[in-house]
Amino acid sequence: MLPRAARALPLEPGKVLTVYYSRTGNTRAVAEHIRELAGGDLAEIKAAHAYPEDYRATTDQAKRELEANLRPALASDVADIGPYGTVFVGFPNWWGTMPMAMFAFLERHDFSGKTIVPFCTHEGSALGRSIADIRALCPKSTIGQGLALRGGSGGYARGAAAGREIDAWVRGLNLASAG
Amino acid sequence: MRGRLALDLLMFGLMLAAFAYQLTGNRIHEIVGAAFVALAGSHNLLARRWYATLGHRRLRAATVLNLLLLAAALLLVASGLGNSHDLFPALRGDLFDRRTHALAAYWMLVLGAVHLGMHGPMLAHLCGGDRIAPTIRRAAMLALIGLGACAAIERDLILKLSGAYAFDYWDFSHATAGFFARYVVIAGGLASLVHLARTTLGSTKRGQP
Repeated sequence: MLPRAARALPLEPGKVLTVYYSRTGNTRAVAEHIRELAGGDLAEIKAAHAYPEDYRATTDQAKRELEANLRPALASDVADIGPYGTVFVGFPNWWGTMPMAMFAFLERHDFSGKTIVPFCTHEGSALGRSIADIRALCPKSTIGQGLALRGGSGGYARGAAAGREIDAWVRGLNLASAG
Repeated sequence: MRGRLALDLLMFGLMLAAFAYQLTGNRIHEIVGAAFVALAGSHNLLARRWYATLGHRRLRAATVLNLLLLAAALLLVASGLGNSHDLFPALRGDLFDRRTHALAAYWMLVLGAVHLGMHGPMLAHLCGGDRIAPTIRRAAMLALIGLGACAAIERDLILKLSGAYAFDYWDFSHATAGFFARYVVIAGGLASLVHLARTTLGSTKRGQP
């Protein structure tokens, strides 16, 4: 559990969405903390197919999906992205970018005129090329400054230090004027 | 001797190529790794006298460092085989994960650079570096140390040496040379630091670690 945010930002809750994909719960923990700070709604993206329990088998499958440019069916999605002005988009970094379920999500909805703020958990690749990929998928949106937190089994993304990083990052985004 | 130097330079080049996993893909990475192991085996065969006298020497810092380098190399090979997709898929297992392979690789880089630095006088003689004025040579090494420190910070080397990272990322679509340059200055800076420290402490003899 991440420590409670120091103070909330003056955002219009109805216009902010935090959407995330999470396999182990690291990205989910970060998403929940962001939602505490920024307000608004929280939504999880899930692929319709399962990934193996085993970490290596999951990375193997993720690599095959990336090489095949797969767009998996989604078991859970956002009903209507229209009302939101600012969308935090979170994911674990898989092979230098987002899981393919997030590609599917971003392609399904129209993000024109919206601000997308990416965040990810990683094991060395930081944001990788995900910003470029998001920009290519959503050319008419504004991309905010992303955040990358170490995930993996070490649990950094769920700890107090990560909480402070998230606090500082969200405050630094100055979303009240952009949203 | 120059032949051994050429062998060592080729090994270093292969190590750099192996770090560029994103650029090469898995198959070439494994081929490069196999070639590196073959050269490392040759290097150790040429150094068989060191092994033969191991039991008879005092445990000095240099010996400990070389043993750690050997351990890192063995772990790199074992974890590489254990994670092989293309060349040795039958050897894949659960004993070593990708994080272990990455950890061993970064320690190989660091300990290999230290090993290089310990042979500084010999290398300088082989390269003709000892014909360069000492002041210029020292300034060049200090510059390399500074650049290497900056690159090490940028590449998060300390965290990588602690096993925190299983992956690395570099945007090869924008700057391929920069990736290799950074690892060259990290290794060169570390080797220079070791060499300068040893010469300052006055513990080197010509051509001997």
